[in-house]
Amino acid sequence: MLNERIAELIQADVDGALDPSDRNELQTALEHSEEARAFRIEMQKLAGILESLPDLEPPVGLSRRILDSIELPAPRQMPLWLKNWLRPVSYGFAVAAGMLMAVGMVKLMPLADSDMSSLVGSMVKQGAGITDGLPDSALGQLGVDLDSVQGSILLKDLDGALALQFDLDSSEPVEVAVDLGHSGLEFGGIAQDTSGLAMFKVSGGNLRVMNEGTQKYVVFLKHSVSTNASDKKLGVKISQDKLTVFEGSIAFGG
Amino acid sequence: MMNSDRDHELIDRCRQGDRVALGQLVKEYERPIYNAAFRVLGNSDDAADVVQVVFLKVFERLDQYNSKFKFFSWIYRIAINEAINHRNRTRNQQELEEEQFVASENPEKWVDSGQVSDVIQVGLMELQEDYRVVVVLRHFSDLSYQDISEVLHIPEKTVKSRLYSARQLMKAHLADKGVM
Repeated sequence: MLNERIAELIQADVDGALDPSDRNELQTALEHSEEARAFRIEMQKLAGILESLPDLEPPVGLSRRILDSIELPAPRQMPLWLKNWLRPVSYGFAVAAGMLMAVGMVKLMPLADSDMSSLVGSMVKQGAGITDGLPDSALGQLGVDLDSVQGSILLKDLDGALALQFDLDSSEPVEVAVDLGHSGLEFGGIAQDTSGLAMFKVSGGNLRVMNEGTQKYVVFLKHSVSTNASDKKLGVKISQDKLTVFEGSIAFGG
Repeated sequence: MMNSDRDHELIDRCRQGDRVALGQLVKEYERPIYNAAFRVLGNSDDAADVVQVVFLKVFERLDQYNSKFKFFSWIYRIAINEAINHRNRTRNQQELEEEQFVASENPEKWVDSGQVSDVIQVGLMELQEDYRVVVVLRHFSDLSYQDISEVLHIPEKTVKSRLYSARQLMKAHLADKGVM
């Protein structure tokens, strides 16, 4: 019968948990006991068999089911009016600085240089998309074709103001950052017609959007009265797990 | 192995409503929790249900989580408890299915067709729950004695003695089926 102490040492050794101070004792036991050696081989073989099984893949769609079933507290940094705009709805929910009219279909009106506090959101009739009313042609665009994210970002003229139209599909969460610092533009509003964006922040002349899955949204930009540069551009950076995976800019002149 | 600092950062972000952090936590833990639940329950659908409930409970109780402790110990504890509760709720039906499964096979066929995985799973299901759980956490979740002790709230000495007994039973089962 194998000594209980030796059996314990052998088990710890097999589990990689043997205290270094016990190694000599185990070594001595193994040298003098055929039973101890046989037991050790059996334990190693058993561990090998159990650990030879591959990890199982969770069923497809399980993580989506989990995510859809969990509600988190409302983001603290997000203003109430913006949160309301980003709430997933079955109809397009369009917002622009100043005004946005909805009569049967979306009609985007020129953005006024009004104060952000006067923002008004107007519901868009069901079936109308957020890009209805935007011109087909773009002032500039970026194509994104990476493993983790694909799609396009288009800058369109809105009769004096501008609209940045995002159409992205990402398999993993990615953060899209837009640098307005050299654009002479400032944030005017956002519209989206797919599920809620995980994050949308405007700070220090930058926009940051967290994108996952298929997302379509339009960011409205209005001209800043203080900027007069002729080589205006928007910097766009896409990051995944805090690593930049894409960088580009859209130049749109003076 | 799980990274405690990163977990705590993600949890803090979840508490502030950051769904991206939630997505990252789910991505990190979905697979290990599913595997542990499967090995305890022996059934994929039940394991998936348990995983969903585990995450729901974790995020419902996020305010109760004390960051002095490892997040993975906490989520594993919830997972093991939930798996055992689920098993107890559905025990009669599961036992019938297992008996039918065992009766329909023979050891030679298992080994010849390389279905060692099935032999192991049946062996696990034959263990009493407290033995099965330590084997699952040690061999399938790769937790240390100390981690298992924290997850199950039992002394390390008890972890070792349960592991020893469970292994003797598993060894006998595998030998009986011609795997060892």
